[in-house]
This record gives sequence, C-alpha cells and structure tokens, in this order.
Amino acid sequence: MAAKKKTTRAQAPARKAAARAKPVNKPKNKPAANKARSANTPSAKKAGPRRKAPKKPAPRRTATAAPKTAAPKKAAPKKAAPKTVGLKGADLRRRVLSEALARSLRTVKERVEAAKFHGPETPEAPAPAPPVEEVPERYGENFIVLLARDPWWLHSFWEVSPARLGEAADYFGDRWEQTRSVLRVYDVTALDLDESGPHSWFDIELSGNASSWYIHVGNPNRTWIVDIGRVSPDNDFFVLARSNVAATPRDGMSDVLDEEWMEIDFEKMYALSGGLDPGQSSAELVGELHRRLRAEGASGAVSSFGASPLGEAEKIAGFWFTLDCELVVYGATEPDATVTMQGQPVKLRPDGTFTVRMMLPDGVQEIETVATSADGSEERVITPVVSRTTTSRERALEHA
Amino acid sequence: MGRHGYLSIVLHAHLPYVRHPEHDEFLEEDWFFEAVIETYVPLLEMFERLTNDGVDFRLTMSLSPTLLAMLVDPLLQYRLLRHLNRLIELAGREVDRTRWQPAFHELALMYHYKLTRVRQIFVEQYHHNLTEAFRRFQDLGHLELITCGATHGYLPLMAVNTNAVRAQIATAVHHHERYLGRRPNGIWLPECGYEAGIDEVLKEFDLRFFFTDAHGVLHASPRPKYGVFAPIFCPSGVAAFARDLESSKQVWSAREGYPGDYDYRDFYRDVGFDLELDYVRPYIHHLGIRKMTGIKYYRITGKTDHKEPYVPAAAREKAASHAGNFMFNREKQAEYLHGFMGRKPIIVAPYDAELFGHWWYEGPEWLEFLFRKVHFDQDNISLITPTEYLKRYRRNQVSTPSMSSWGYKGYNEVWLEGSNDWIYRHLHRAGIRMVELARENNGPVNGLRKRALNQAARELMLAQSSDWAFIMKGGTVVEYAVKRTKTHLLRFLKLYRQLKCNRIDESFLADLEGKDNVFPDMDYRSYT
Repeated sequence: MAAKKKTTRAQAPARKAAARAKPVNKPKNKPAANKARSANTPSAKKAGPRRKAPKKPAPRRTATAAPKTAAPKKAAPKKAAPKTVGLKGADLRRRVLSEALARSLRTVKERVEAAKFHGPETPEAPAPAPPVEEVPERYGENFIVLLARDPWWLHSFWEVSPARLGEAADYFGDRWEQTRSVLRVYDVTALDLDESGPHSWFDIELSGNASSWYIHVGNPNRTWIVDIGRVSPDNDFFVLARSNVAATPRDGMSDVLDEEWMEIDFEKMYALSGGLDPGQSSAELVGELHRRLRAEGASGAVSSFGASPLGEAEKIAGFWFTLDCELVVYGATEPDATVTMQGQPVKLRPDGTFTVRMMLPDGVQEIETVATSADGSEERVITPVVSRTTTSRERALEHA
Repeated sequence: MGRHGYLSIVLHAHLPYVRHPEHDEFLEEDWFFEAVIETYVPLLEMFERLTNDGVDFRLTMSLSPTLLAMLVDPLLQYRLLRHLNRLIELAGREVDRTRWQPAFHELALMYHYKLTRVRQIFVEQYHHNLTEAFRRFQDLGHLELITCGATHGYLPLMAVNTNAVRAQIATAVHHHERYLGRRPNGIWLPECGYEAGIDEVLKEFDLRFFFTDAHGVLHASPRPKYGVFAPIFCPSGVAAFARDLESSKQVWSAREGYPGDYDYRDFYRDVGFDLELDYVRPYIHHLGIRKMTGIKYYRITGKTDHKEPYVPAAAREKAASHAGNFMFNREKQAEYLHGFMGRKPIIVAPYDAELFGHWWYEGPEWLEFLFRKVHFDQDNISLITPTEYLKRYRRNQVSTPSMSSWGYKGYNEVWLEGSNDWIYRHLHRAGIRMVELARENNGPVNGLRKRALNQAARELMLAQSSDWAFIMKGGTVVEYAVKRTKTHLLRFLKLYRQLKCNRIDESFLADLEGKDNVFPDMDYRSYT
C-alpha cells in the first residue's frame, strides 16, 4: 500500500493543477483542456458511478455534524491579560515568566522544549517597530491540499480561483443558486481514483468563507483524497479542485505477520516495549498506549518535577506573603585608602565612596569597618552593630 | 560488551535560529546562552572528566544544523560572552551579599566558580567555538554525532512536497559535515516526525538510521518481532530505532521519575525573580522585566511554596543513587528481554539535551554517574550507538513504521491545530514557488541571481521551523513565533517576485544576507 501511495503521490502536482471532472454532455469540453486526468474521457464516465451511486448513509461518519465538530478551532486564549490580583506567589511568578507555559504544557518534554522559549513578550527597543506586514490572504491560484493529522482526522486547506468558480457557474447556469459548496472525501485505499471509484465517500457542507477544514474520517490506516466542489440538489458535482493523497496512520498493531520473523508472544513484546501492564489483550494494550499518549503526553508521563503547575495545584492553597531584609552600609574615605569590613576588603569607587549590600539574617552583626590611609600611617574604625529579630503571625480577618 | 544487552542514550540538542543583529540585546537570544552555559558546556566538561578517567562511554547526540550555525556565529559568540561576564559579575556580588548566610554563601561561591569555569572552557579551551569540542569527543570515539532537519521543519506536514523535505535533509547533511568534519550516519527526525516515504529521502543522503517514538515501530507493518528492542529496516533499507518508554518514564515522569526529587534544585526560585529589583536590574531585561539568571538557591523541598536552601552534596548523592537505580532497572530489563528475545536488545533512551542541566540541574551529574557505573560496576549492559548495533546485528526485520511523532498524542496534532494551522497554506505555496525557482534556474546563474535564490531558500527554511508552530500551540512567546513565520514568508515572497521579474534589489538582498545568515553553503538547487 505504501508503494501505491507513493506513485499516486508523485502525480499529485498534476492533480492539483488540473482537477476537472466535467460531464460528458457539455459541448465546449476540449480534450486539450484536460490535463492530468478525469475529464470527458471514458474514465470520467466511469467516474460516473461516483455520481450515480446512491449516497451512502454515513452513520459512522459525522459528516453532517462535521461543520461543527470538524473545525475545532481552539478558542483558548493564548495571551490572557496578566491577572495579578489574588494570585499566589508561585502563580504570580509563573505569570511573569510565561503565562500560558504553566497552563498548557502537559509533558516535561514539552516544558523542556518550551522552556527554551520562556520569557515575557519582548517590548521592542525604544523605537516602536513598524507593524508586521500581513501574509497574503489569497495567492491567486486554484488548489486544495490534504494533510493527515492522526489516525482519525484529516486537515485540508484550499483556494478557489475566480476563474474556476466562473467555470462552475457557467456549468450550472441558472441552477447555480441551488448549488452548495462541499468537500467530498474519498476513501481511495489501494485504488487509483482515475481508474475506479472510491471505496466510499461522503460530503461535508462548507460554510461561507471557509478556506480550511478539519475532517473527521474516524478510520485509521486508510488513504484519502478530497475534492472541493459545488453540488446541486440532484448530486450533480463539479470539481473545483482535487487534492493530493493523504493517509491516516494505523492506530494499533498491524495485522500483517511476517513468516520469516516468527512472531513471539507479540502482546507481551508490545507491553514490554510500552512499559505497559503485560497480560492484557492486544485491544487493551493498544487502548492503554493511546490513553497514555493522550493523558500523559507521548514522551512519557506528565512531569510535575520542579515547581510545576501540576505539583503546585496540589499544594496547600492559601494567601502568601514573604519578606526579607538586606542591609546597605555605605561610606566614604580618601580614594587611595584601603577599607576592610569584618576583615574582608571593600572595593572603593574612584571617588572614594563605597557601598556594601548584604542579606541580613536574624541575629546580631558587628560590622567592624576599618579605613587605613594610603601610606599606612592612620587608621579609623567604625563599628555599627545591627540586630534583626523576626516574628510572624497569621490571622484570619472577619469581613467588616 | 554487555552480557545481556545494550543501552543507547540519545541526546537531541536543538535551538531555532534566533539572531537579531538589528537589536543590541534580544530576549529570545537568552535561549542560546542558557543552553550553552547550563547544558552544553557542563556536558562537555563531563565528557572531559570521563575521558581523563578512562571511562569508555558512548553517547549519541544530534546537533541540529541551526544550533551548529549559532555555535559558529561570531555575533552570538560575542553576545554569549557578554552575557556570561554579566552573570559572573552578578555571582561575585552575590558572594558578597550572602556573607552572613552561610548556606547561601556556599551556593554563591559555587555559582561563581562554575560560571568562571564555563568561561574558561568556552574562551580558552575551545576558542569560542564549541563545535570543536563536540568534534573532539567524536574523534575520540565516544560521541556519535547525528544530524537533524536543517531548520527542524516538521517533515510529515511538509512531505506533500518531497522536494522541500529533500532540501531540508540535503542542507542539514552538508552543513553537518562542514562544521563537524564528517558526514552523519544517522538523523534525529524533528520531533521524531515520520511518515512513509521520508526514509527514502534519507537514503538518498546515505543516512542509515533514524528514530521514532515507540508506537512508530510497535505499529509497524508487518509486526516487529522484537518490539522496540531492535531496529527494523524500512523497505528502503534505512533503519528505524524506537524509543523505549520504560526508560523514558524514569526520567520524564513526575510520579515515578527522578527530576522531581525534593533534594534537587528548584527551577523557578531564581534570583532574577526573588531579589530586590534595583539590585538585579542590570542582569535582567533592560526594561526591568524580571527573567531567569540561572542562579538559584533553593531545592524543590516538597509540594509546598516554602523552599529550603539547596544542598549540593545531598543533591549529588541523590543523583548517584538515581543513576544506580536507572542502571539496575536497565540491567534487569535487558536480562529479561535477552532471555525472551534470543537476541541482545538495544534499549533506546532519547531525551532533549536541554533537560540535562537547564531544566534538571543535576542531570549532567546523573548522566556522569550512570556512565561511570555502567563502565565500572557491572557487565550486564553496555553503552552503544545505533551505528555500532547495526554493525553487530546486520540482519534485521523489514517493516514499515507507522506515521508518528513523539509529540503530545503521538501524531501531528501539536503542529496542526487551531493556533497554528494557518501557516501551512503559506508554507505550502512558498515551497511550491521555491521548487519552481530552482527548476527555472537549473542552468548556470550569475552572482546576484544566485545569491537571491539561495537567500530565498534560507527564508523559506527559517519559516519552516517547527518551533514556531510548537510555540503557537504552547502559548508562550506566541507573538514572536508568529512574527518570525510571517517575516520569513514575506521576505521569501518578495525575493520570489524580484527573481521572477528579474529586478533584484541588491541592498534589500544584502540586508537579508546579513540578518538571516544561516547556512553559508545553502544551495537552492537542493530543491530540484
């Protein structure tokens, strides 16, 4: 199957350039106009079955529901305005560090990678930067591209040129008003769509200005093509563009066994490979692997090492407050004098002033400070004695 | 040689190309400085100690081409040193400031010593160019250096345009050889993103192996007899090695993993955030926004806000015991598998390099203990690289791996979802245009035109970094990621238009060559 996919994929550029499936009875079809394939050739007539076949009921496809579920544009705010009121210390710190980092990361690996990118947004250097020009909304081309996202979902994006749309309008004539835009999704596993019909297909009705869509096919290990087109109520379908081939991956163990490499207990090997609980059936093992991929992140489990969001969520909730003291001792003498404080040398500024700043713990500090003249003949000593004691208490206040 | 099996530790070192000569300082360049100071130099130091002590270790490291490009860039080397000097100054001030608090004073001395040591290694030992260091250990036979996608483009979502994939690989392989002196034998696919067909491109460049996540091989067809514990050959002949989830869990996992141990250093309690603003101001963002410095005084302590001072000796003991534990588990695992498989298993344990040192401060120590213990304390397992394993086991099952990645949920969703799917239309059209340009200019091309073609290729590749999509989903510095994507796309499109009309603006081109100067040997013909 992989080989098959590759050959059809090689044809993909041609497909994209020339997807046309014109009906036979349209007089102005010119053979020359048909590039790669499906046109008014016999194979296109064979493509008829696509149109003639009764629309398969699609109970396992959420096609009609697709417009709602198939485009799960995440609305999660990515840059929430910093809310600092009422935040706990670790939350505040995190917020300054990177707002969404703590919320959205699920795995250590992601955090490791994302931690490369931590940091608040950089306000640019003094001059305001010119606004970033926008990428083009349209490229003036006609195409549709299909990507597989996972075993159950595809993603497609497209652009329909005005010229192509015009051809569609010409084709439908005064039936145009009744036509709708649809994505038509074909299962073409091990098939060539030019030569035979798909295994199955379904339509997704598109809303207004959509230019991309998430397509739920729910079917792993299959190969797909999507057309974007206009369809009339009686299922007369005009292809505006045809996509490349895309394949959903398998979602579990392969069914194919290699005789040359005789299978040992594969369920057991699978369990050992995944660090899973052995002794389960293959379905259970695959299920557990996938649960792990979804819940814990593919690269191992969720980490709560460090002051992670998960770890912190379990901490005792409560209002927090920290405080510390530093002592600043400063003075001045002649620029060429030497000064020591508690026996340690103190660096003087060129003008003879100095500042020493120190963390001040509880207890008493005798800060004997000695200044000696450059020629060593005179000495002055000043010794401040500083003491710190700290008490703390907690109180729950009643509301006034 | 291990009696029962082999352990292959793989470190993937990567940074996206972040270099902003148009600003005197740029926050995101910190990623590079932190990685060098906290991960790469400590690892190199560790390699040195092991070598001096005659420990025969084996490690596989991927150095992404953009990381290599940054390591050799003079501007970034200069800025790295500037950053390092500031940190050393801060550490010196901390030594003074903590004089009355012995627990903190000891730590300040430690940081001052370690930072000056980093500077010494960077400046005096390796002359500002750390690729020399990696080369050294490669030549000594301890490191197998493999490559990665040129700009870490996510290949499964690029593969609809095979030429774009080919160009990423070609550029990577070429620059890997240029900077490290040897062609790479293998590759770390970005994010382990694989789909059928990518291996055929790898084969064109003599790459013999790559890595997938566990399910990439477990779900291969036909069923892989040895699960993840032996490589499989794709039909093209390129080998796929799969990650062992059991050993990954021990390091990545919170519940069961090492890095969350309460004696280890807490990542968040950094002096950049903890100390009084006026004091730290010269060492954080110049607008006064606090940021990490790397000087941290506390240990994890527990699930609590109250953190105790970090005690390096206790952390070191823990690292040693965790390394011993990891090794013990691998020994048991290998012994069991050996009996079950009838062949010596290879246990593949890949990690992001930056986990070691940056996120998990004690990571390099743990790794060093592991290498020493494996070498001196047992003979059940030995360290190996994929190349060596393939030499010992030349015959392996042929099977096609499943499309997969090591991202969240195991497939492509991380890079293809609501926050980032908008980019693919643009990357796709740009890719098609680049192939068009390459094909139209396949004959001899004059200097200016050639420069523009190569720069267009650079812009496209920089836009293709999977890091941008990842950041958009992760929600961290989204604005930056979006800006990078759009900026490079727009630069590409402008060059494209100029090339098509044959009116190339030389000063515009020169400006881009100065800013986006990655991959000096970029050859646009790799798109044909």
